[in-house]
Amino acid sequence: MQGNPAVPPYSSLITLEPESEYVFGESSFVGVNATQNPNPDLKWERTEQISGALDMGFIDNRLVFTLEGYVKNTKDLLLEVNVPLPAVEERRLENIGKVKNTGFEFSADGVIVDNSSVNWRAGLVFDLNRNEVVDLGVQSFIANGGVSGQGQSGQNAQRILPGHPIGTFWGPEFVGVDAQGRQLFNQYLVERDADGNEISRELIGETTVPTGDDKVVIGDATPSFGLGLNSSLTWGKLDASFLLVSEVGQDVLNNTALVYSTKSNVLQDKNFLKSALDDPIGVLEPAIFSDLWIEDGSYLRLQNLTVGYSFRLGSSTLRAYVASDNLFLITGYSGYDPQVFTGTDTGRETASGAGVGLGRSTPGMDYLSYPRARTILFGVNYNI
Amino acid sequence: MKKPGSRFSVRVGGRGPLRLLLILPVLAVSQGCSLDENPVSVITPDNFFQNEEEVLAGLAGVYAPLRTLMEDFLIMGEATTDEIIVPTRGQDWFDNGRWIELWTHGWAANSPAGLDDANRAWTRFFGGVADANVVLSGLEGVTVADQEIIVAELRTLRALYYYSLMDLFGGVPIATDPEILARPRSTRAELFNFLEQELTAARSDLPASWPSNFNGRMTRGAADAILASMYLNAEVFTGEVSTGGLQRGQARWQEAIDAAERVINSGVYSLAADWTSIFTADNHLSPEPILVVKHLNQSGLGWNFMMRTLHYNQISPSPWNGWSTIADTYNKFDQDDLREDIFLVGPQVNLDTGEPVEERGGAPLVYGDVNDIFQATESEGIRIWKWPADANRVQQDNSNDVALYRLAEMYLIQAEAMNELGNTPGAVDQVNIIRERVFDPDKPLDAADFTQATFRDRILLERLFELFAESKRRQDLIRHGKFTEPRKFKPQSEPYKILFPIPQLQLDANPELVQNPGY
Repeated sequence: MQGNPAVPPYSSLITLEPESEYVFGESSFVGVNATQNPNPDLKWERTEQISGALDMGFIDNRLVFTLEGYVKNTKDLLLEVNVPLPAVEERRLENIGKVKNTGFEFSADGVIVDNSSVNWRAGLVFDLNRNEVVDLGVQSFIANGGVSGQGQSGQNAQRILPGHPIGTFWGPEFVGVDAQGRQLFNQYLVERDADGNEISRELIGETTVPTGDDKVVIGDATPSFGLGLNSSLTWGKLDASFLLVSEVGQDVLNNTALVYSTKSNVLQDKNFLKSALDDPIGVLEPAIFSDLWIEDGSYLRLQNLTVGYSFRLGSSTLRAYVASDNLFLITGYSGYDPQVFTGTDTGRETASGAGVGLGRSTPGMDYLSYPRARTILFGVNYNI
Repeated sequence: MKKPGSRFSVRVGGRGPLRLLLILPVLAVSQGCSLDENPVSVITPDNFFQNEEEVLAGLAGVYAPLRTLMEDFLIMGEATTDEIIVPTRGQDWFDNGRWIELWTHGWAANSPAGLDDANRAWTRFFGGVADANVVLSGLEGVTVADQEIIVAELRTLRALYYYSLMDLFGGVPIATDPEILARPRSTRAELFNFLEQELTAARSDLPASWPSNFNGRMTRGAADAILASMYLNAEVFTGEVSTGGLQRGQARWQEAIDAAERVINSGVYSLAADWTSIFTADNHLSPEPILVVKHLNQSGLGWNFMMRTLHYNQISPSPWNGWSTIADTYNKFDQDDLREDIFLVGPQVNLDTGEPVEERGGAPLVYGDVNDIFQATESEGIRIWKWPADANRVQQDNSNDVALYRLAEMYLIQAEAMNELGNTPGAVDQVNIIRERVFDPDKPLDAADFTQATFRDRILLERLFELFAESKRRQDLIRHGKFTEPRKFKPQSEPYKILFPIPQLQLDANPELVQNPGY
C-alpha cells in the first residue's frame, strides 16, 4: 500500500567526509573519515493492510453504526541496526524488522430529534489499536526515550522490544526506602544462555543500585482504548455543541517530577516541588528513573463546548456565542497534562539505536511539556 | 492512532431500514525498488587518496579517534580501579548507576556500564580500526610520496586500537580490510601475535622522529613502546581467562627489556628535568613523551580533565565536580614525593584567582575522603590536578598533550622485567633513575631493603606514583593479580572480571561472537 521514502541519499556507498580534526605539531588538520557503512541492498519499506468496514443505517439513517477493523503489517522496516565490528560506523540502515498494527474502530451517530424547531444529534466513537514490534532482525532491543535531567546520562526510559508495543517503558521496580532513606528496587537473579537470552528469573531481594537484570517492562504508553462523545443541538435560535474525549490505560513518564520532585535539589540551592516533602526518599538521594515516576495517564477532557444564540436584525443575522476549548480535564495524572507531545528521540549515548521506519517515536514522555491552554472565546457573527 | 472524536458527521441518504454499505477487504503491496548509484557529488575511498594532501587528510581522520578515546582509556583503565572513584553526589553523577558499577565491578553484558561504557569502548576502538582499514585499502591502488611511512603509521595506529581491545575484551575479530563481516573472535594470544608482527614490521619503516610541525605522529619509538608494554603484559595477554580467573601464558620479560632499551637508547627522548613540565600546557616541548594524544586550546580539540574532577566553583568554566580519589590511595604517596602534589586535598582556592573557594551552600570548600559512594557531598573526594590548566584555554579546551607512553614508563618496564628475571638490584637502579627528579633531597631506594617479591610490590607502587591517572592502573593491577581485590565500597569481585563482557548489542550484531567466560 505504501513505502517509506525516507532513505537518505547514497546509503548504499561508503562515503568520505571531512568530519574530524586532529592536531599535528601545534596546528589542526582536517581529517577525512568514512561516515557511513554501505548497504547496497536497501529498498523501500512495504506495508500490507487488510481492512474491513461495515456501515449500517437504521430508521432512515437517523441511526448509523460504523465498524471498521484493520491489520497493518509493515515489513522491511528501515532501521539503523548495529553491524558486526570493525566498521566505520556502529550502525547502518537495513531493511529489517516488522511491525504489526491491529485496530478496531466503532462509531455510532444518531439524529435524536429532528423537526422544524429542534435538531439534536449525538455521536460516539470508540477506538482501539494494538501495536506490536514483531521483529528487529538481529537486535534484541533498541533503547529509546532518553531521560532528561542532571545525572541521567546514558539513562533510557523505553525499549523497543520484539513482542511489545512501541512506547514500552523499561526500568527498575521501586519498592520503597530503607532506614537511611535510600531508594530500594527489586533485585533479580537471571540466568542466561550463551547468546545472552534469559532462561530464568528469580526475585532475590532489594538493591539500591539496580543493574541490567533488575530492569523489566514497567509500563506501556499506548492507551487501551480511546473514546469520543459529541453532540450538537439547534433549538430555535439556540445552538450548542460539545466534544468529550478520553484515552484510558496509557502510562506516562513524569520526567518533570523525576527531576524536580527530588529533594537533593536543595543541596545545590535549587527549589524542588512540594510533593517531595511527602515522600520518604532521603535528601542525599539522586533522582533514579524507575516505575515510581510512571503514572497512569488516563484522562477525560471536555475538548470543546460551544453555545450560541442567533438574532435576526432586518435582513441579516447576528449570532453571539461562547466557545471554550479544554474547559476541564479529569485525570489522576499528577503532572499538568497526561496527553503529552509525542516527540522523536534525538538519540542518547550509545545504547540508542535509531529506527528510521519507527519514526523514533517516544510516546508518553513528559518533561516540562507545556500544558494545553484553556481558552474561552466570546464571539459575534454578523451575516449581511 | 486515530483520535477519538475525529468523525462525528452523520451519514445521510439511506433508503432501507438496514443498508449494507461496504465490506471491502483491501490487499495492496508495493514493490521495492533497488538503489544503484554512481554519484560524482560525494567522495568515496575509490576516488580519494590520490595525492599527498588527501592522504594526510585521511591520516588525520585515523588519528582523530584518539582524542575521543581518552575518555575510554580513563573510564575503563582508571574508574574501575582504586585511582578514580565517581561517587553519586545528590542529583549529580548517578548516571544510570554506571559509575558505581565501574567502581564495584558490577558490570555485565546488559548492565548500564556494559551497555554504555563497555559498548562505547568496543565501538570506538573498532571505529579506529575501521578508519585505518579504509585508508589502507584506499592506498592500495595508488602511489603517493612516503607511502611506506604512511602505511607503517596506519598499521601502528591500528595496532594501538587493537591493543586496547585485547586489553579490555581479550581476543576479538581481526580485520585488515573494510568489509563488514560477522567475523569470529580470534584468541587473545592470536591477537597478541598479530599485533607483535604488525608492530615489528611497521617499526622499521617509521621515522625516529618528525619535524616539530608533525609532532604527534607515529614514530619507531612509539611502536617500540607499545611492544614493550605488550611484552610486559605477555603473561596476561597470551594466557587463558576462565570463570576461575587467569591462567598465565608465556612471560616475555627479556623482550620487554629489549624493546624499552631501544626507546631509551634511540637518542630521541630524555627524562624531563622538571617532572611537572611533562603535563603542562606547553608539554609539546617536553623531551619525555613517546606517544601522545595531541590537544589544542581550540573548541573541541582540547583536554578537559579539569572539568571532570574540579568542584563547580574552583575554575572557569564551572566544572562538573565528579572524579575523585579515596584517601586509602592518596595515603600511599610519600609526602616528600613531588608526585604527591598532583592531589588537591584540604582547604581549596580558586585555581584562576587564588582566592579561597566556597561550596554552593557558602561553607569553605575542603576536599577530603569519600565517605559514601552513594550519597557523597560536594566536597567529598580528593581531586586530581596532574594536568594544570592552560592559561590560554578556550572554555574547557586545554592544550595539554596527554602521553600514552613516555620515557619514565620504559624505565619502570625494565625494572619490572629485570626483577622478574631475578635481577632485583638492577631493577632498583632503574626505579631510582626516575625517582631522582621527584625528591629533594634525593631519596633513592636501597636494593638491600628488598627481596624479589617485595620489590614486585614496590614497582606496582612506584607505577601508581609515576603514572597515576595515565590509564595504566587496571592493566597493572591485573598483571599483579590484584585487580579484583576488595577495597573501600567494593567487595572482592569475581576472578573473570579481569575481562569486560562483550556488550549485548555487539553479541546481537555479530552472531559469531562468543561471550567471555563468567558473563
